[in-house]
Amino acid sequence: MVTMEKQGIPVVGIANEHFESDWKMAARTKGAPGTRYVLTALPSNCVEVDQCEAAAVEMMDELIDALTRPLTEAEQGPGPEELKVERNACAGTLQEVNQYFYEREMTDGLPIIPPTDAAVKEMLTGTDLAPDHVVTRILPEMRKATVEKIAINAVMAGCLPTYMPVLIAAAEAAMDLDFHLVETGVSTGSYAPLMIVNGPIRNDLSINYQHGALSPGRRANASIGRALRLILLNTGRALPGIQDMGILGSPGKYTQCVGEHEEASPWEPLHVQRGYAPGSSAVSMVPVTARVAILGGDNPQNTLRIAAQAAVVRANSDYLGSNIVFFVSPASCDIFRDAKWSKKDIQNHLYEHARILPTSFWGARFYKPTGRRNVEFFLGKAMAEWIFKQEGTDMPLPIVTGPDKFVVVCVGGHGMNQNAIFTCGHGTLASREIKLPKNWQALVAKYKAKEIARFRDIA
Amino acid sequence: MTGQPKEAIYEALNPIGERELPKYSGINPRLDTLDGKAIGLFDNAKRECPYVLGKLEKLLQERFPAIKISWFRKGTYKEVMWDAEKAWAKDLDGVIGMCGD
Repeated sequence: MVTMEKQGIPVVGIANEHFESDWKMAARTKGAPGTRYVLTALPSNCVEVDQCEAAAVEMMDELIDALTRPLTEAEQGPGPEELKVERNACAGTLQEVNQYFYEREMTDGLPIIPPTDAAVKEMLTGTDLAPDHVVTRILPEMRKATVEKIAINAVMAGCLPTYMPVLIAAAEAAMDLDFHLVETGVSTGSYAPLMIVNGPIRNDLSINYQHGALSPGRRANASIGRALRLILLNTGRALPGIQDMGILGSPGKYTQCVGEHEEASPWEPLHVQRGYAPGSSAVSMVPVTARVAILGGDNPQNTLRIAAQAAVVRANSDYLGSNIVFFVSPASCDIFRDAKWSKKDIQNHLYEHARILPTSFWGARFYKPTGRRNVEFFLGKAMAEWIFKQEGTDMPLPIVTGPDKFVVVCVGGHGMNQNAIFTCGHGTLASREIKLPKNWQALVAKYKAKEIARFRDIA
Repeated sequence: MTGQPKEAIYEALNPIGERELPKYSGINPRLDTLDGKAIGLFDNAKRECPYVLGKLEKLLQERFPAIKISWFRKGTYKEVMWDAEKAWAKDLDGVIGMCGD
């Protein structure tokens, strides 16, 4: 809307009353802070026609007024000036620094390590890039994620300098159009990045990909995911309830970082599948909503039958273009290996069996005007027409655009019958190669010595 | 007697990213009336938008018989629609846009 106002057209927007701050921030970020709006109490995504029409009647006069009432002096002017970001935030005791950062919504609510100049300088040893190098600009406020800002947030999260190359790659991946941060970072759907690290760097950093890979306990998993969250928060500034309008939120936003258990996998690692060289390292990220446990499955068909049932949960959204991530634990990988199932076989099987009847979700959402639009957008007109013809029938329909939307990754410790499906909504998998500094081996030697003993021999 | 050890003081750097000073602009002059004007209804793909904007279309046509209504339905999901939005809006006199949230 602001874009059209900047195009020279008088605009009035309709926003939900709980999203007023979101509107104001977006208008400010896009450069026309005075863009007019009218608020409605109509719940987001309401499809009760009577309620929607009543809201229209209620807003009618206000909307006409907003398009015809002459501008005030303030509305004609250029608006407020941006405040400069000072390099130093504050000075104080550990508690005072934490309180300062907390009050200004620079944290995830947990205590932080104060990012002193010395700590940040040490963090910067993890990269050959200059501190002022702009890695990317993060939505929605498009602030600069410079190497130094990434390092500051990494210190706060408790990272080691050797994690910097992963964070730089992850910041880039977050702004990949496929990841779609413009919606995944602020959506009512509460999407959280799931980070999957591949290549030798997993062992260099002692990233857990075995027992409890998604659980607390390992510094790399905990602090890399946390640092990404802080980077997105402090350079995107999508504050919860202001621009991050996730209705329920997600614990995955604290941290969600694992390695692929390449050593136990019968298949090509995820990053190699995505075009990176064997022996390289990469991070892949996908915005996910939830993890559904898949318990049971003593042969490929049984395992995938349960996985397909779990995947169908994803069909509560009509974003057909998104991924479904399937974490396969090593014991289940063995079953697939013995039966000679490739990743492609698994993807095809899930695509064919994760189906839903038009009378359930499809009837409720896909045959509404916006649902129809999404089907056409993702599947093309011909396929959409075929799907629309199935309304009221018992024809099972697919829940994603193709088999390749299923992302199959080996993760976890050894033990039978434990796999998981991660459902996604907006956005799809984005990957970036992790580029290492010249003195990488020396850095690894220095910081790996700080790992606790029981993790040292894991590789 | 020894006193309490002095607590360390930390000078913390700022984690907030800088941004280029946005070029803020004022908003455009308003219309004298909607009658006879080309008014766009922008639907951002939330599910309530077609119903709310559909009703508004009827109400506007009742009140301003010479109004010309044009719709834009965001295809959802990717910014590939931005150019199409601009092209749609360029001949309009005003826009009512619904975010849904």
